[in-house]
Amino acid sequence: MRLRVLGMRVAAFFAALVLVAVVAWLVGGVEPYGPIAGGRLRGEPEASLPEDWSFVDRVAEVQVETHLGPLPWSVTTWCLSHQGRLYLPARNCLEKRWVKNLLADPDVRVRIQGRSYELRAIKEEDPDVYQALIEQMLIKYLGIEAERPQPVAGVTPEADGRAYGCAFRMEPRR
Amino acid sequence: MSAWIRSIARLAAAALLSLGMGGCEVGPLGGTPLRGEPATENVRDWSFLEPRYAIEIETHAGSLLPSAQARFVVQDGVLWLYAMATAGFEVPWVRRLRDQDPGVTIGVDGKLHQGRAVWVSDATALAPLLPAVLRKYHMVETSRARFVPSPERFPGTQIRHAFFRVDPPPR
Repeated sequence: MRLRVLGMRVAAFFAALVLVAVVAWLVGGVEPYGPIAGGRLRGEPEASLPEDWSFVDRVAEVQVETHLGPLPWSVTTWCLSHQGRLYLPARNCLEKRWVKNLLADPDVRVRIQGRSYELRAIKEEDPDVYQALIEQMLIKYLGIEAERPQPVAGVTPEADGRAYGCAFRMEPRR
Repeated sequence: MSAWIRSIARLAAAALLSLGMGGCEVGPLGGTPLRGEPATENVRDWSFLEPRYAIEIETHAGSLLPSAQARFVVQDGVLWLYAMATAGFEVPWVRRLRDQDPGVTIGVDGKLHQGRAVWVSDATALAPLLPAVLRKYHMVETSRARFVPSPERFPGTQIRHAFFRVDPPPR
């Protein structure tokens, strides 16, 4: 009986922790940490956007805040630049919650080196740009130079959603 | 209200129990020991694993969570375990195999195969594996690839790769 009471107390403690985490998330007190998603990103968005985003070449990770229905959902992810534009790539993109959120609501907030920018995400469909992003991603993040790298032929979201890559171009909100 | 709290508490308790007893994996931290029958023969050709995305491994170094889902490639029948690490986080099984004990158990369809994981860091030796790694885990097709040092344009953004060749256990 005593063990049961103890077990209930331990379980209630962890349940309380979960509740606190959820409440903190809802009010925006929890930011993404490593692979763990967070809620609202702190800080006011910048009044103006950079004209040239190539400075992100020196940045390994950024945070992006999307929306899961009414809730903020933020993650840490990779970033690329191409011809001065900012891109957020995603591997296994059809499985990632933040990508699904972004496809449902493209208005995002991206935080780079402590500065937040309000942007709109557009899925990149240009094969030449996508090719350039692949080459850049391999060198920037994997440290690998590949001979004529191409997306694996025949891989489609339907055939293998798990490993389907995509990239989103960040545009100003209209 | 109290009934609601009680049901939440039950859920939390169930989660804790499953963590301890269910042979589950806690993401990148690892999982409980593998279950299965010891294999009677060493595998000479691991090519049959190729269609799989990841395999179950268990390190022999002491750990509360010794098992993990590991990425891998097979080259000429030889099994290579593969992991990526960021500057801030390295999966625990990599550290255990490299720094503590190379002994590893590979779990395949209920059979437990013993092996010795040899850490290989020579970029030239690893280059032939890269097309398979890129194809399998990054969905990039290429006929040839090589590691390059961090160029001036991307300082400090590169992740680290860890490769282990799985050899038969020492007799």
